[in-house]
Amino acid sequence: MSSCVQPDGKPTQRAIEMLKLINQKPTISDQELSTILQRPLFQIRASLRELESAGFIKKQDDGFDLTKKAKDVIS
Amino acid sequence: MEQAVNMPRIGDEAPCFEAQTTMGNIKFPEDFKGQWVVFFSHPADFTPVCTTEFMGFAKLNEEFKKRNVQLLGLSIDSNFSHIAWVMNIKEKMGVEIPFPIIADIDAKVARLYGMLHPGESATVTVRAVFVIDPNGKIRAIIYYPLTTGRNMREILRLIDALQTADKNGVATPADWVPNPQTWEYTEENTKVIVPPPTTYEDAVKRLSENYECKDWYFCKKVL
Repeated sequence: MSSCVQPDGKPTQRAIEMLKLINQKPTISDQELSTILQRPLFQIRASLRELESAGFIKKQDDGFDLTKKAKDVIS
Repeated sequence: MEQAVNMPRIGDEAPCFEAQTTMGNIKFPEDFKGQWVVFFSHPADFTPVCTTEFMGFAKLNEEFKKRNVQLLGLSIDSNFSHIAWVMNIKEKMGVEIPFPIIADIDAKVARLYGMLHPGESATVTVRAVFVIDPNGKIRAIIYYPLTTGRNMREILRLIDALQTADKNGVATPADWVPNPQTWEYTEENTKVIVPPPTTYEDAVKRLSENYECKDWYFCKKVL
């Protein structure tokens, strides 16, 4: 069961908020996301993993890149 | 032949697992790195002692958060059962449960952590508490039997003691507390739990009996 990608493959509202924050600041940390979104750290980390696995983000050394699929969703 | 039981010990790395919880899927301890975790098991959802424990943990959740501690529950129940129980606690007792509960329906995690004690029960977990530090190391373990609810303030005191020991290179004596304080106990603390009914007929009857009930499974009395 996923908490940030719906069965139809679309991201949830919470996931879209995360994608927008990552788009604004690709080097944003999981701690920062946790503070801004007021969600527990473990949940942010699990969501990032789900978003990467669903092809919305790609992990980089210093943060994340949004994929075209993610950019289409938040545009 | 006696079956070998896996029992993690103090000083061990917390065993890894993936699980479904009421707040989504988790990888443990990976998703919790950098935080302390109070990982605890309870025997079953919709049971009275466990309900009082969950309300106790919920009440102190902000204190745990201040100490960089994430609470994490577990029982051998389904996620649907957990969700129904959490909603029941909110509806009947007015308490929101702000931490995740692992749905360990196949008892894999319970076995991995030695939370099943066959002498006490072969089917439900005892009241285990594992305190895991930000590096994923087990720092303390507590076991309580099914009949006895834990003292959440003692678990908070344990966290304070461990963090104080780490920060200052000291040890803490018996009954140590970080600040002078009085733990308040009221008449409410003296009440005991009436064993919950085990048949539908008794459950219906229970609510008309002379107990102090929050729901059919959760009734108290004064001895």
